[in-house]
Amino acid sequence: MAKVILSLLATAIVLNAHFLTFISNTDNVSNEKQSNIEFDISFIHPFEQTGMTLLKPKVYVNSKENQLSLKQSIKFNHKAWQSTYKIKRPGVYKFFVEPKPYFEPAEEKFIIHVPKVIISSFGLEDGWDEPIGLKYEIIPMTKPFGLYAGNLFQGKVLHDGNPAVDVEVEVELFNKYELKEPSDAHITQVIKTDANGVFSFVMNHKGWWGFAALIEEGELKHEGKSYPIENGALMWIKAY
Amino acid sequence: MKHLLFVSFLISLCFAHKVNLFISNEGENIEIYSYFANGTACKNCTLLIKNDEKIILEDKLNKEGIYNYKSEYKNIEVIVDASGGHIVKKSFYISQIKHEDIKEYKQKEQEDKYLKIILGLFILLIFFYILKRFKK
Repeated sequence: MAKVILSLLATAIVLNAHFLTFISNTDNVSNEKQSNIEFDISFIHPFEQTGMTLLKPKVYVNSKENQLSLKQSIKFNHKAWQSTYKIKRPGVYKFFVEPKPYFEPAEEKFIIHVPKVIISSFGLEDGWDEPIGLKYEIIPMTKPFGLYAGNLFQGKVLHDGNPAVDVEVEVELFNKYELKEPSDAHITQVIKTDANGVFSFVMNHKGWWGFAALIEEGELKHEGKSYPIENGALMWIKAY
Repeated sequence: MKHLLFVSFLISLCFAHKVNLFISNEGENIEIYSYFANGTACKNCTLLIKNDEKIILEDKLNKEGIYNYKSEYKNIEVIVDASGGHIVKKSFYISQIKHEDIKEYKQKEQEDKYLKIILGLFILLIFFYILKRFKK
């Protein structure tokens, strides 16, 4: 009986949303002193603040032609990564991570989440609503830097450049504030895209919010057996 | 209430046109770049450069909102006036000043100025000479 309860508990923990978390020390560079951007990259449950191992991913700025270097770190007792980038000119910079596929045995699927963060520097704000051109991507419809807690965030999910209709978008707060959830259902908020691929969400607390539009497509093999791939178009937004 | 709404509208309008100033220093050159949040350049905006409250340069930015400048002072204050009450100013410290290079640059600038004056006078002389010939 104890074994069954333990197994159920473990599954319940595992089933909460995985997020490839990509958080920077700022989303808005106002002066030279802030121009050294530092990134934390980890594979975690952001609300519960528990982690998983993240194999070495690749980090880019603006396109796959500009790859950043990585340094290994530890997040919630698991392997994670850090990166840095020095912003030298005014502009809107789009950073994104390309991870290795992660096999999730409890859900019998592979997970490939590609998160992005948009950073404005030196007052220039043009271009935040333009896609990078990823296969699965969230395009913000609300200026993604300079948001307050309580603001409505709207985004459009694109799949191969077209609006992704009726897609689930999971939302979690990076809960460094130790907020307690009233029930398990409150940990991951879920919304769906409309006929134009658009979703809306009010961020009711300050901090980093992760949005993960999940599209199941393709298969990968694990120990000779094929499993579906959960492709995630992720975006991290900071509310002040 | 109407007045309040009007004032808040004006404030939001002012912010939407907030002018930014980015100054970078590579070697001897100081690039002054002024722009609006939407990426539009501060075209032909008035530029003032001061040192110790004294104006050392008054000019206009180019169509890209850029001005390249060589300073002989380590501490300068850059002011860009986009008109309509949109002014931005920034103090800037220049670490790499080689005074000899600056002297050479200033000397060349002065020589160029004299050359232009001589050339202008020469063109005027030719013009009057041709005019005299035609009168005859």
